[in-house]
Amino acid sequence: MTLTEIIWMACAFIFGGTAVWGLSWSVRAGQLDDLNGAATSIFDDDEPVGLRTDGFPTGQVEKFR
Amino acid sequence: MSLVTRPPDRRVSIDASTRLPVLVFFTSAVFWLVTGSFLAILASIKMHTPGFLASTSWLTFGRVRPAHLNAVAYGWASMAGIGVLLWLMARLSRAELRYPWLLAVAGGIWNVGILLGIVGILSGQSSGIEWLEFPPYVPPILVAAYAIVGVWAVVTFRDRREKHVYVSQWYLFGAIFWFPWLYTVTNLLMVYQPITGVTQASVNWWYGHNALGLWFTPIGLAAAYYLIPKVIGRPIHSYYLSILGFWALALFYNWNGAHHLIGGPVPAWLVTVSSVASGMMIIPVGAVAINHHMTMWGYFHVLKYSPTLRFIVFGSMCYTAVSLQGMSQSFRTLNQVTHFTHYTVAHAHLGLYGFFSMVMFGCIYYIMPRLTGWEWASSRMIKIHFWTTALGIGSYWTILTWGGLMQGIELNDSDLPFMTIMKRTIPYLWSRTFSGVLMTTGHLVFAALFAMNLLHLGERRTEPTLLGDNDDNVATESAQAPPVLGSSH
Amino acid sequence: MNNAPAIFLGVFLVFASAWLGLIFAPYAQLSGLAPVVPAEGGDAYPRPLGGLAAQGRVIYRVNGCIYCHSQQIRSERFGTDIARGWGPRRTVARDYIYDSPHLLGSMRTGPDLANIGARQPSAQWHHRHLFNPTWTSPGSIMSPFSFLYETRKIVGQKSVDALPIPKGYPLADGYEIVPSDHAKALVAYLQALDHTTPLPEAEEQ
Repeated sequence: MTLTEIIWMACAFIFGGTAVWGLSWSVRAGQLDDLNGAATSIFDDDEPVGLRTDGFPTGQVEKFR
Repeated sequence: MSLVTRPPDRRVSIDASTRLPVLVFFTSAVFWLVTGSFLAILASIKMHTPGFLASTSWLTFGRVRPAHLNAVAYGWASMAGIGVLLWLMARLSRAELRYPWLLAVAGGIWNVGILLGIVGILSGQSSGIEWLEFPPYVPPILVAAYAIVGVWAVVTFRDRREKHVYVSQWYLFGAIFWFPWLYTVTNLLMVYQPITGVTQASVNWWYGHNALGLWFTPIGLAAAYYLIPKVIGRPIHSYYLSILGFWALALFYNWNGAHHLIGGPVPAWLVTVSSVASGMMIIPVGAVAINHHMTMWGYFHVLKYSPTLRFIVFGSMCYTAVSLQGMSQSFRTLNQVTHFTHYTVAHAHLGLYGFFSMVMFGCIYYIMPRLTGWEWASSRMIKIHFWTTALGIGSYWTILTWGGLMQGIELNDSDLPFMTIMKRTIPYLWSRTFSGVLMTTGHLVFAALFAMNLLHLGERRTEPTLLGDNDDNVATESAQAPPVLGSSH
Repeated sequence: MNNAPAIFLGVFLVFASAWLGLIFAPYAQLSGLAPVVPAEGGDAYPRPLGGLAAQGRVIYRVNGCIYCHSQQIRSERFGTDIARGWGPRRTVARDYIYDSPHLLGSMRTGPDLANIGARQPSAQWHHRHLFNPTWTSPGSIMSPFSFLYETRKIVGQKSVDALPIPKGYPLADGYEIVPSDHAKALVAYLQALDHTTPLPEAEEQ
């Protein structure tokens, strides 16, 4: 094998390896255990589900129906 | 006084930590957007009026066109994307950016790279590789700047206080790792240690296609997966679908690039495999389309008010459209007609503009007020921006898709002389210039709005600048001074 | 998840194989291609470009000719490239073994140039066409490359390279238009673009 070919094989393993590590980590860390709860992780007490946010960053709640 | 009783919330201080670098990246992005738009109009005019500004080598069509592509892809889209990426990563990790000035330096280095690259192309040093035309001294500069951004995004993630890794972060990590890999490997194989012949073409389109699908697309989708739920205040429809979509994109997209070489002098199996993988893209694309549509279900009326939502939902719809169109183009029957025609140009613009740029506009409308502590000056100007760009890309796509189809059908009729076919495309090329002027008008309005926001011009507002009447939106606490970021009251 | 290892292995294989398949496999398959000597004798094909033509290739590249002109002839079963007379046969990987960067192109605002040297051998035609495309091709929307030419006062004899000027072109008496070195190199490259030599693997049943 030439040096180029060895570099390419190494690249493939690094690339594939990172992806597998990412997926396996997400399973081990329980990232996929609670898929319904996961969707709400971007909300909090300050900006709860049901609060529309698009505007001034005062934290104030706007109900623009 | 309410500031005394209520500690400034975490989100505000996180947004504040991203302020300097994100503003540097956004301001540069808007500058390159306007520059790239004028280069685009120039290139477009030259297609139907070749004598226009043709006496100097710097402004010949074959240099202005790649200068446009690189200005908008690496200047506008990448810099806006990096700004959004940094802000999102800090917010989703619920962690402040550390040493934000370092990222601002990265933005400066990136700008130096783009400037040298554009001047290099115009002065006649193009590498001649589509999507990588910058002269060979530019890529190391971009890689250096990118290294800071990539490392810092990971550092911010490691500082995270939020245990759950939200789907947007998966997409961001995809972009963070895939881009440097694509960019450095392709430059090594094509510029610094070049292989030769058609293998180069395979690498070229592996990069060209993946730059869109594994760099811009993940950032755009990460933003949509965060901001659509956030603006309407409703979690995404199916978290399971969103994760499935991410992994399906990661699995199949990497295989797609060689469909740019259908019918070309490359091994047939290579093209076949790419076409099959392109068909498999229905999984990630369908997952995103269904998810975004179902999340919006019942909330479409909010589009009437929210600038952010309007731009992002428009972009998401373009994502579905451009992906389905791309799949169809990878099939031999259609490719035989559309290959080498303006149809492909329309497709590329629907992806990078209709999808990605529109999502970036939406993000900037959401993020800027949170960084500058100043609302957008005029809802009328936002509306002008939206309608000029939406109608601009809509007409651009329709005209060139139809024109390209006609061109392709005629090219496959060998009795028709080439010159006749070419002459029939000229009305479409004129219409393209018109669409380009429309979009550029929108960009100038946007740039003016952006500058007013940055400089705190216009009247001081205490409520969001929305697009429709919001009589029932009177802020109950409008007298309260907002905890403005970086200001000292 | 009991079947997790299997899933991870699958993911790994798909990831690694995409890279190996799109980049490594074509390289492995094609990097051994060598020029062939025709059975009836003669020069090996393909040959590397000569000095002037190689310089011309740089002019072709930096002025972005690829954005309107491809250099690939597709099979007669796919498109009408051969029926249009752009080449006698499809082009194959072996035709390009000396090309770097590749200039296959992705757009045909103008015609394919894979065999332009064979289709249009005249240097003078190319110079007139580059200086003002409508002189040779009425209605053309190609960019004029007049910046590659010099308008100068005739000193002594008129230059042998001077372009024949069509009637009505505003050129003052005693002046001539001559190609620069860049223009000469570019034309040498265009004249060298010739993939008409038969190759066994390009034959189609």
